[in-house]
Amino acid sequence: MVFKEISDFIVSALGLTGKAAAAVDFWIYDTLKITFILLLVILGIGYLRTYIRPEDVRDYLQDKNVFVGYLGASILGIVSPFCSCSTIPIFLGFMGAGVPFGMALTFLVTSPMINEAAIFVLFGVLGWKLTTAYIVGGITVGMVGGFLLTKLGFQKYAKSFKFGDNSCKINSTTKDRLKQAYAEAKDILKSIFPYVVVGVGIGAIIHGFIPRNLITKYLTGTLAVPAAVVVGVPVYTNIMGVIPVVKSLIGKGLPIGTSIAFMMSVAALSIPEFVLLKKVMKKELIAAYATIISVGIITIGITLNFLF
Amino acid sequence: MKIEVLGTGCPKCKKTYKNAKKAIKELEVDGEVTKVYETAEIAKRGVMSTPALSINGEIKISGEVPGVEEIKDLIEGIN
Repeated sequence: MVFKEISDFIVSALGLTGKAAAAVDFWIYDTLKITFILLLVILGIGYLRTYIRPEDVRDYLQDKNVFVGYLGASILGIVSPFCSCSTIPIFLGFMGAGVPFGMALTFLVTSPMINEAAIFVLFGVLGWKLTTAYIVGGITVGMVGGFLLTKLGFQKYAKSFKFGDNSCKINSTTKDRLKQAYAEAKDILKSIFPYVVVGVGIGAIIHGFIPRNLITKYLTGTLAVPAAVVVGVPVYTNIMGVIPVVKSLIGKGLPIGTSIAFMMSVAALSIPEFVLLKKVMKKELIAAYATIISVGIITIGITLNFLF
Repeated sequence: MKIEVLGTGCPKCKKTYKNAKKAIKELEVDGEVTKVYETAEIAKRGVMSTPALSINGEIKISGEVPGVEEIKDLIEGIN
């Protein structure tokens, strides 16, 4: 692709060689590539999404059987908007309308972990195998997590809210939808771009300067998986910022399962997320939620290391 | 006229608030724009997608950032 030529050109114009050249090349190439994919996907999906309103999905989920309902909830989690500030109102809307507690939780788990733009960027940067593993792993953690928390009787720790009804109906024309998609894409790109630049920068440093045997020596064991999850909790960034870091770690020999566990942990488990959840859950439920998700991610990571 | 912007405080909600302020100023109508942050209150109004815009207690927009002109149209539709 043309990005390779651009980064090669800049690196040679700067007269860089060796490790610095490798790092700068990585930084320019991946920033260009990720930004390009994001631009296309966010615009396209942003348009399609104007057709999926959370209200419709809520109505759809109400009378579904267990498996279809949980799967539906996790897929909705994937296509729901990036902005994490929408997650809580949607969650409450589900609960208020009688969508089962577990399915609402599944949505809550999947939403920050997988989103459609991340899927395309993962595919472009890391290939289809890893992307499929990430999606299937994320959906599994979300579905099993929601199901288990319900079965273990944690519903009583959810705070209850009165949920009202509003008659707001929006009839959009194609032009409205395009305008909305464009505004959305601009906003998202603006907020994600810094994460991409910093993330690719860290990835570039790892790519250029961290010796391979440092990683293969210390980070290939099974214990590295839970360690990756623990390290991921205090790291709070957009998933787009983690992908380039993970790319270079994989290049240096970090096992696939460990890498995926790290990405999932960064995205799904974070202190700001828990603070947000505090509004709708009591601490017993938050603790159980964090525990089950962590165990789920660790299991997925170890399984993937075993498979690949 | 009572205009409320419902949202938990993300950039989009701030933008909606700014647009609403601008709309009433440009129309020179007598009204106030307030923010509704409380999760419980947002739920009570039946709003699932934020930001949402309510005029005189009725939800007019939900899940998108309305432009200044759009808000002006909504206000004029009521008067």
